[in-house]
Formats: sequence, C-alpha cells, structure tokens
Amino acid sequence: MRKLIRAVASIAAATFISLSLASCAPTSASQITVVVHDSVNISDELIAEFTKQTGLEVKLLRAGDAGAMTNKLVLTKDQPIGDLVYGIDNTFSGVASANNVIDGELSAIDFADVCINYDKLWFSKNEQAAPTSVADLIKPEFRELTVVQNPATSSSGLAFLAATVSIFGDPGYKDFWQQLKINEVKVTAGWEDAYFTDFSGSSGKGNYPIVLSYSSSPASEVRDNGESQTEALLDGCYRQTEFAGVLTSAKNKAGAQKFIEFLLSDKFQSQLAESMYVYPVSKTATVPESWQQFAPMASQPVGGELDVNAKRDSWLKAWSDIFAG
Amino acid sequence: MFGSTQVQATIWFTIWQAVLSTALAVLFGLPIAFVLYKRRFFASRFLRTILVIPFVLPSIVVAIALSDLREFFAGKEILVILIAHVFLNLSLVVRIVGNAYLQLDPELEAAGELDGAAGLKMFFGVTLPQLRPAVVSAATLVFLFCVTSFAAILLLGAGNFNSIETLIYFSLSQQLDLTTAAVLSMVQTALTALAFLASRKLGAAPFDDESQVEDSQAKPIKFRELPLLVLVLAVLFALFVIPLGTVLLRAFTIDGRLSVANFELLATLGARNLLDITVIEAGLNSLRNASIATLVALPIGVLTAWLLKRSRTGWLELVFVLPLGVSTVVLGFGYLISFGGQPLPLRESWLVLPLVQALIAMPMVTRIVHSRLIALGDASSEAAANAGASTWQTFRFIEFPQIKSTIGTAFGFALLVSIGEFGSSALLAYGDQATLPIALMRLISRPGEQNYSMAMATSALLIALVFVLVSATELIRSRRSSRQGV
Repeated sequence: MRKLIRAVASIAAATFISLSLASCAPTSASQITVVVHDSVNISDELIAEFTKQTGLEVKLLRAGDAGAMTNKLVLTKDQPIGDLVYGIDNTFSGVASANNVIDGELSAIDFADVCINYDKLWFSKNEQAAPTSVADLIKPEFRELTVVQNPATSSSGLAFLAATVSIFGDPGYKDFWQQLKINEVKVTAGWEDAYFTDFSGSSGKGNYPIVLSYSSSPASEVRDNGESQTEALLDGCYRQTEFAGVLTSAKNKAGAQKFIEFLLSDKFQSQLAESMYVYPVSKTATVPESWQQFAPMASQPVGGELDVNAKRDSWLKAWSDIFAG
Repeated sequence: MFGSTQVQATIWFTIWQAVLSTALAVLFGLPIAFVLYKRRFFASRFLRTILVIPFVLPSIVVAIALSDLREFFAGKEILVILIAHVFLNLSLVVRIVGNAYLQLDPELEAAGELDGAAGLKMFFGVTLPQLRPAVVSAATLVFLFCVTSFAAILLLGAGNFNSIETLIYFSLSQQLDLTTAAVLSMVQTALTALAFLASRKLGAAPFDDESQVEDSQAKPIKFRELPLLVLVLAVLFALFVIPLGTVLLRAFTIDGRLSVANFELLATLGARNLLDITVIEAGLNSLRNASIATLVALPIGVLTAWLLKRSRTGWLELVFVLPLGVSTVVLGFGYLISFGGQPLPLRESWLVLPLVQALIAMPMVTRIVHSRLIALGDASSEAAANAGASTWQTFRFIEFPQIKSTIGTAFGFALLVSIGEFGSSALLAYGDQATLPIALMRLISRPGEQNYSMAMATSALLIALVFVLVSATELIRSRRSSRQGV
C-alpha cells in the first residue's frame, strides 16, 4: 500500500513540476492572446492567415458571455491575461472604460440590430395584419402572440428593454411593459428558447408568431420558394455594436494593435455575416446575397443616446417589479 | 449590490427547491429501482438505460424535450423546475439504489418472509434499513446537484427564479458585485458541508454484514405487484419516453416528413461552415475525453473512497465532498484570476479538458463507492486481516468482489459526467477540439432551419451514444456475474 501511495505522490509531483516549468515559458513578442466572449467565431484559417501576414501566433481566450468577459477583465486588469479584447458591446463598454481596462479607444468592429421578427406565413394563413411597430404589440389583436427574452438574463432582452425606454420615454416604458404583460407576452430566459421553442416561424414550429430576434434572422429562414418565411420590423430596433480594444495590461501592445487592424480589414469584415451573423462596420466589406435581400439593417435604430451602463439596474428593477408581481 | 432581502429569499428558495426536488427524486426513485432491478420484465433493461440520458443533455435540449410538460404547466414554472430536477437526477437514485437492491442479503428477506412480513411492512422493516446507505448517498448527490442547479433554473424559470448559483452569476457577470458573490458561495459551501454531515449521520452502516453477497438475480414480476408496475411505467413514460421521443422525432423530421437527411448533415460543417469540425469529429473528441477522464477519475476515486473508509476521518471525507458544492461560476472566474498572470500552459493542450472533467467526476465516484464500502461494514475484512491477509489481499479478495458492481455504476456516471460536461468545455474546447455539447450549442444559437435540424440530430447522436455506452457497461456486468454462476 505504501508503495502505491508513493507512486501516486510521485506522479502528482512530476505533473506539478512539469506544469510550473512550462508556465515559465517566456511570452515572446511573437505571440498575442485575444480575449473573446463565447459566441465569437474566428476560423482557424483566418488565424493562420494573420499569423502568415504578421508572424504573430494567436491564442483565443474564451471568457464567458459579454458581461462575464468584461467583468473578468476588470478583475484582472493588473495582471496581463491577454493583449486585446474583442466582443465588448455597447451595453458593457461603459464598465470597461470606467475601470480603465482599455488602453486608448475602443474600435467598433461589427454590429447587429435587435428587432421584432414575425412569421409572415402565420399572419397570411390567419388572414390577420402583421404588426407594424413596437407599439402595436400591446393591441388586443396581438394578444398571446409575442415572445421576448428576459432583459436580466439575455443581451437581446436588455437591448429591447433599452429600445422601449428610448421609444416610450421614462416612465412611459413601464406602462408599455405593464400593457405587454396584460397582453400575455411570453418571456423566456434566452434567445435560443424563444426562437426555437416558441417562435412559429423557425424550424422549432412553436405557437408564437412574433419573436424578439435580429434584423438579420429572416435571411436564415428562406424557404424552397426563395422567400423568407419571416420578416423583421425595422422600426424600433436597438443596435448592438461590438468593439475591440488593446488591454491596459497588455504585454504585446504592438501585436494587439495589428490584430485590431486585421479585424478591420475587408478580408475579416467580409466574412462576419457568415461566421457571426453580424454586419461589418467597414463600408467596403461585402455581405452575402441573401443578406442584401432578406437582412436589411435598421435605417434608424433607437436607444443610441442612452447610458445603458448607468441605467441598467433601475430599468431591470422596474422590469422585474412588473413581471415578478 | 443586491439587497439582503433578495439574498435571503434566494438562499431560502435554493434550499426548499433542492429539498423538494430530492424528496421527489427519492420518492419516485425507490419504487422504480425496485421494479427495474429486482424484477425482470420485457423492457426493464431498456428503461434502466434511458433513465440516464438526461444527465448528458445540454439544458436547451432538456427545455425542448420537456416542451409538452412546460406547455401543460404554463405559468407554474416552479413545477417545471422541480420536474426537470427529477428528470435530470432520477437515474442517480435508481442506479445507486438499484445496485444496492441487487446486493441485499436474500437470507434476511427470506427470514422476514418466514416471520410473515410482506409488502410495505417488509419494505420498511427489512429492506429499507439495508438500503439506507445507498439511499442517503444518492439523495446527498441529488441534493447537491439541485443546490448548485444553474441552467435548469435559469432556462425553465424564464429567468424569474434565482438560486444561489444564478444570483452568483448575476452578481459577478453583470453587477461586478464581489461581496454578494462571496457571501453566496460561502453559503453554498456551508450547505454542502451540512448536507454531508447529515448524510454521515443518516447513512452509517446499519449492521455488520458478514455474509458475502454477490449480485442476486432479478425475479419475474408477481401478480400482486402489477399496480406498482403500471404506476412506474406511467411515470417513466410521461417523464422519459415522451420527452426523449420529442427530441428524436424532431431529429428525424424535415418539413413535417420523416427523414434521415438531418443525420447526413452531421458529416458536414453545417450551413456556411458554422462549425470548425464536423459533428462526427466532435463526437470522437467527446469519446476520447470521456475515456481519459474516466480512466483517471475511476482508480483515484475508488482509492480515495477506500482510504477514507480506512482512515475514518470525517474531515478528510468532507474535503472530498466539498468540490461537489463549489460554484462553477466562481470557478470560471477563479480560473482566469489565478492562472491569468502566467497562463496555465496546459490550456493549450487538449489533455486539459479530460483532466478537468476527471476532477469533476472524481468526488462523485468517491461518494458512490464509499457508500457501498460503508454498507459492507468491517466484519469480513477484519476477519480476513485477523487470519493474516495483507491489506492488498483483503481488498482484492474480500472487498473488491463486493464493490465490483458499484464500481460499474460509478464508471458509468464518470463517463456521463464527461460526455455531458459543458462549463469547462465552453472555456477550453474550441476549434478542432469541440465536443458534442459545444457543437450543439453553436448550432442552436444561430437562426436557420439547417442549424436547428443539425442540432436536433446532434442531440439524437448524444442520446444514441449514451444508450450504447450504458448498455455495453450493463451487458459486460451481467455477462460477468452470470459467468460466475450467480
């Protein structure tokens, strides 16, 4: 028995030593670590191309959703866990800048418009007019037809809450949500559940023909007849912009800057729609043909004037007072 | 900053939902274990196997599987959460208790029958005391899983219910409120310790068992047990067959017609190359990780359980239980903060993930095996030692044969923990290292028909994989015991 314990102990010690030795490997100037959130999707080919262009090796460090990622950066701002961050959105950029996480300015890389979507097929089958504005959703004819996401648990939910604050003002948005609740809106925790379990226009074939999603979603619901089954209400959309920035604690700031330039290059920008279902910020980048036809961006997004970071808590409190009661 | 009333309400909710979920799982689990392990009928092996499937399903697939129940209980989300906790954890009770059922001393039961004990009297007077360590061990595990429940409460409660774990998540990832997170994770650790102390008190060996019991054989169902059988089948049908059938049906449906075309997509990268590797390749990664995690977790977990029994130090035992109650959200933050300064070198090696998963599975293996060792008592090993047997000989010839099938149970759960594990995988397994749950989540978090169909087919693949693995372990086990002529 004692032999066995000694064997286990020596294996453990060997592992530990090799771990600590390896961790002393110097981080050279030929390496960068990019902190990203869970839904950032950069293909191995693109990274290989960047390495070929610059000689820099890239490591991706996944740090949870956008909120968790931002807060992890705040907590570790004195230790270099990475050289740059990609994917902080405008609902969390305030936290990052207030805590001096970013060296210099954040650069906008991509954006998505959070919009109400509806199932065109459902409305034509039921010979009913589809909603034309966010305000329509509280009308009796749309009773029990809408599913949205909880703003406390979902970034699209928070975006829509901000949109209603912008459209109806404060305290007007509270009345709107009160009415929406009376109109039996369904609330889910996340986008996946709302879109694929409850929305009738997706392949999940749920019971609700109106869903909170993105202006680009209809491009993914094009059927055999060449038409999209769904359409986005381009009125009252909130624009989520994602940024990249060099971290204050970065070891390789020059390398980080090169990667941001790469994120802004047309090569990277032109594949954003396909890989991450978002619009490129670059005017010269391209989007797939189906996007040009079925995924128009909102012409006048709302809520850009709001300080989401400062107001988030009070909005969420008001929202949960309405829905918890 | 969260108010103290909200923190208190959250702690209270966490405790009562976990107690209630555990009570329900035990209440349903005991008769189901009896019917599926002590009685033989046409579908018993099949039903035993499908019980464990929910254990590996990502929460969004659980939500889809339970969609009929959710619609039925619309507006009563708390009921759906409780049902989901039973759905996810029932297999722990059924397998651990069922395994103990097979090792009941038939002589005691025969003696009870001679005394005229039958039915419920027999169960409470003779059977239950013998099963107690297994029941307590299973209940402790279920309780801890429900205390730390995160995705089920978030998703099925539509974000309207807060458990300790979800509030830790919000306070860390949205509010950057370290005080609340720290208080809550300490409370969670305290709850784990309390549950452990209670389980030690309740789960002590009922008596020293000198007889060596090999697995007893299941008997055919008796006539007077038919109502019980019907009841058990009804529960299993409503809670497992229909929900899992819902997922499978969707995997085999395209445009409302039955088809296998969705499965052909599993060899592709998905619409517009959404995935980095095909789902099949992700499945191979999952299998590889699960094999390594189990190979590491099983021997260490069994050794730990054995050492714990020998040392009899309660505190040492506690050390091996506490990891079960540690907040995964806190772990995610702690991981970056502790290793952020000098990145954990292993992070670049694919080997890290199976090793982390082995760490996650190990306390569970220890728990399951330890409870069986305790139930055995000391008499036979002491007798062997007195007769001059070495420690190794005692283990090899006295203890090991008696815990063999329990190790089988632990082996199965270690595999499942690794296959279904999501939190660490999301952090570590990307690019060509994606696992099945990771590929599935990537597919289902984008709109589009093909993504959804592929996600459903991936769920079906997960279900099939678990079914095959668990059936294979069972088959090997029953072959072995029949070869030994028991």
